[in-house]
Amino acid sequence: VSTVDRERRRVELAVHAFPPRWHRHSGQALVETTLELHADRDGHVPLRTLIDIVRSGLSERRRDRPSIGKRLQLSFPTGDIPPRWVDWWSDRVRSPLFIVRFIVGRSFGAWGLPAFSTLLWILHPVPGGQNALTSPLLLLFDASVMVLATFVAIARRSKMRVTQLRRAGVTSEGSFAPTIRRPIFVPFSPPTATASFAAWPILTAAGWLALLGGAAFITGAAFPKPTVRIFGFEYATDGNSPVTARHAAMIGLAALAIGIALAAFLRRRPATIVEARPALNARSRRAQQIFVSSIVMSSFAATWLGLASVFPDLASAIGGAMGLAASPTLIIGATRAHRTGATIDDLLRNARGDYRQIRHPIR
Amino acid sequence: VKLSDSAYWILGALGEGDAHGYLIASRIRTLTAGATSIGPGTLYSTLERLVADGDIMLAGDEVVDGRNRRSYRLTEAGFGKVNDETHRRAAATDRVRLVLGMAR
Repeated sequence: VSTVDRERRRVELAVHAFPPRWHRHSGQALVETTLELHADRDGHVPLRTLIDIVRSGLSERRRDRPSIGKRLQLSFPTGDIPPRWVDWWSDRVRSPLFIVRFIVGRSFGAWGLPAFSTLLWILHPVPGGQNALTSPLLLLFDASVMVLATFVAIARRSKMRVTQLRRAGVTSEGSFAPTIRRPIFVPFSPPTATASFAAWPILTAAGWLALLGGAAFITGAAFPKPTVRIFGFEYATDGNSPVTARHAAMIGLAALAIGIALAAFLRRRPATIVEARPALNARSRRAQQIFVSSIVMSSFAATWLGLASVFPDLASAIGGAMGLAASPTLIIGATRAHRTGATIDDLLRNARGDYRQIRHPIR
Repeated sequence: VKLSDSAYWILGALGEGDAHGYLIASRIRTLTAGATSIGPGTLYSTLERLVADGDIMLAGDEVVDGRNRRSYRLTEAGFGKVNDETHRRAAATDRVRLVLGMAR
């Protein structure tokens, strides 16, 4: 590695102290000028110069961003972004940290109260006062919310970015651009393994619910006479149980009918988005195969957990009904996702028919 | 409006004509007889601010010897500002000179 290359890398690293928008616009010119200014020193860039670049970059960042109060105000997901902060907002939304901020914000209900209570306990310790905070149920709930928020955030990150950029009047990829004949899809970045990883667990979770509920209802209907306990449900015809096998079967069939009607309606929606997606790369296909396998594995796990009556009755009933209602749509969605490599974001957009049109130039 | 030292010297250097970053830095060293040297970070962040304020404008981008050169041009507004600042500084220098003369 030559001295010039090494020094160039050092300067380029220092220039990252500037805001991304600034960096894109003037970063290269700054690097070239810095190297040229020190060409007579065998290309060696002194530390003083690097410090000057970093200091200027950080000052530029400070100048470029609103106050903390204003940032909190703009963080609420409604309202337009004032023109003064459009560039700052665009950089923020396009930053990799955008997803982290989203997860932390959306899962505040899960970690906010325990964190606040723990802080109070640290400030005013009471013997045994932390027991409630470390109860397995609460920790399980917190973990579930965090995991769900993470999956949703990763799966829907493109959609969220487009929505947030639109608040600033900036329309980027993931939207439909109007033309004379028909809207043209401005595609997201090509599907990545990360997107597929996020899409499949959501489909898996919903499919898992469908399997659980469906099996419970069908079994209840098939064995109406004796009192049976399957997947957390207790089915009986002796009049003691509030839910008889006949009731269970009727609810199950009604949920399934609603699901089929919903699926038929959703299927008529235009499939343009999914068709417009670029093809999956090899890495993403492998990711999908892994998660298809995980569906089978989690089905076995669900069967075992159901037989062991791990779940309480209410959770099984709600999950089962929801799962049955969602299952026809899921089958269509999973088939389409498998065939076209669509992410959950594509499927949801397709289902809603939510085709926004570009009214501003792409920036 | 009072100009910062770096903005003043940059506007002064562009008074000689359009220039890119390296040339501006060289002119500043000549103008100040080597007394003032502006670091590249300060130079470019000040240039961006002056462009945003309308005191200078982009004159063009070109590639010379494989290097990306971005040239800047002084605007009427920038000329007015550097002119006013020069008069202000000259007046301040005269006052100091007077005070020093009186003290002797």
